[in-house]
Amino acid sequence: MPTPRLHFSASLLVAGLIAAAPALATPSAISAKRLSPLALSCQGCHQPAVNAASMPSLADYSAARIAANLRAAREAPEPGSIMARFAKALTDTEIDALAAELGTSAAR
Amino acid sequence: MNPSRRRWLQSAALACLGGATPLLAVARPKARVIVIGAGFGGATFAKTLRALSPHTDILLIDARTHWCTGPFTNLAVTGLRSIDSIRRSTIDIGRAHGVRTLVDEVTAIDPITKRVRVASGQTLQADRIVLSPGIAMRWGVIEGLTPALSGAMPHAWTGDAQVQALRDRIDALADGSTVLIAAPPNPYRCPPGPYERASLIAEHLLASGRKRCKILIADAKDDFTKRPLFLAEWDERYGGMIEWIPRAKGGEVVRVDPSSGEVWLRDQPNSIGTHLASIVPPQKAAVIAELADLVDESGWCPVHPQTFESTRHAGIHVLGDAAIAAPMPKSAFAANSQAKLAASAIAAALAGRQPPDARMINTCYSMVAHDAAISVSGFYSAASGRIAIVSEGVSPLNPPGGLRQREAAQAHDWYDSISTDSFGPRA
Repeated sequence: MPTPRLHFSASLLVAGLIAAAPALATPSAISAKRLSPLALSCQGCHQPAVNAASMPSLADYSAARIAANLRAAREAPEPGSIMARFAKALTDTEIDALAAELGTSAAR
Repeated sequence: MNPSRRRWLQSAALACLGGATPLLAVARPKARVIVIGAGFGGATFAKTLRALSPHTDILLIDARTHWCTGPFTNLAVTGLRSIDSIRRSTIDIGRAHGVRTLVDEVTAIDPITKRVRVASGQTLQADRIVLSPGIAMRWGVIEGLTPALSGAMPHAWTGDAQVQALRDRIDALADGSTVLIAAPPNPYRCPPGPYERASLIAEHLLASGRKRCKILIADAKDDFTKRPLFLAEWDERYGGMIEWIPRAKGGEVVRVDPSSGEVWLRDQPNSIGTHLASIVPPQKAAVIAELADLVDESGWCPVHPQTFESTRHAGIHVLGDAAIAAPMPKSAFAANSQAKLAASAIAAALAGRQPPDARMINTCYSMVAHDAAISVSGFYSAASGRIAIVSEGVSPLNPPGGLRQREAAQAHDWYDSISTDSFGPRA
C-alpha cells in the first residue's frame, strides 16, 4: 500500500515525463500548475484527455496563441461563436493571465 | 488515536473490502472529506480536491452502482445514442480519480458533528461534507402521480430504468398517436430538457413514417430557455407536429391517470387522452439535503456562492442541482464548474491560502434534430453573497449557414469532454 508521499511523487514523475503531451487530464496536471477555478472550467470543454475536434485541448497551444484567439473572439468573433460569449467581458489582463495558465510558455 | 478517528479508519477499511481503491493509511491526521453524490458535481469535486490537496482523505458515496447521465438522455430515448453509451459507474469514477468509493445510501447526516450514516449501518466521521445529491420529485403536486405509478408516464429525468422505459414507449408508438410532455415549473434540472425532448421525438417519429403523431408540451410556465429558437426550429422542421401550451393557456398539468394515459390541465373540464405521457414533475433538492437541515423554505439549499458552503451549517457544502445558484441553471456544466470552485476553495482553506477567484461558466446545448443544435452560455462571478452574470449569449435566431450543424458537432464534443472531465475515461 503506497504512502501518500510516494503516491504524490509518482504523480509528479508521470507529469514530468509526459508534460508536453496533449492527452494529459490526470490530477497531477491540475496539481502541478494549481489552475484557477476558471481555467479548470475551461477544461470542461477543452479537455486534454479528449482533445475534441471543435474544442481542442489547450495543452500544446502557446499562451500567446490562446491569448490571440481570446482577443479575436472578443473583438471580431465568428457569427454564432460560443467563445465570444465568454471572451466579451474579459480584460486584456484577464486574457493574458488565463492564457498563461492554460497554454505552454514556448511559442509555437 | 482518538476513538472517532479509529472508527473512521475501521469504516474506511470496510469500504475497501467493498471494492473501493486502497486506503492510504498514515499516522498523522489528515482532513477527511465525504462527498455524497457521484454525478457531475460530486465526481468533479472529488477529482479536483484529490489533485489540489493530495493528502486529503476523500470518500465518494453514491447509492447507485450505475446510472445514465442527464445530458444526452434525450438522444438515448430517441435512438440517437445507445443507453449504454451514457451510462457511468460509481466505482469506475473512484478508480479514475484516485478516491475511495462506497456504494451505499446515505440515510442521515448530523450537520453539527459531521457524522454520516449509511443504509448498511456504518457511521462515518468527516471533517467536511460535500453534497451534490441532485434532485427529488415533489410528489403530490400533480394528483394521481406517485413514485410507484410514475413509470407509466416516464420522466426519465434521473438516469434510472425510466430511460429504457421511455425509449421502449417511443418505439412502440403507432402513427396518429398523441404524446404529451409535461414541463415543470422553475426551478428544475435541465431547463431546456423538455423542449429538446419534444424536438428529438418529433424527428424520430417523422423519420420512421409516423407523420400523423402529435406532440403536446403542457407547460407550468409561460416562458422557457431559448424559446424563440425552439419555436422557430419546430415550425421550420416539424410543421405543426409540436404544440406548446403555456401556463397562461391552461398548460399546467394538475392531474393524471397513469393507467389510462389521461392528463388533465388546469381549469379544463375534459382530460386529454395520450398514448404516451412523459410527466416531468415539479422538483426540489434531494431528500438527504432536507434530512440534513440544508434546505430552506424553497426546498433548495442556500449556499455562500464563493465556496458553496451551506449558509445553514458550516463545514458542509452543497453543489449542483440541489444548490441555490441562480442565475446559473441546474445543469451538468454548472455542477462541474461549481465543483471546481468549491474544491479550490476547500483546498485553499486546508492549506491556509487565500480563497480562489470565484468565477464559473456554463453552456447548455440542445439538439433540435440529430444534426442541429442551439446553445446558451453564461459566465458568472461570485462576490458579496451572490452570483452575477459577467457575460452571456445564445445562438442567433437567424443562423449563418451551417451553424446549427456545427453546434450539433460541438454538442457531441462537449458531451465527450465534460463527461470525461467529470468521470474519467469510459472503462
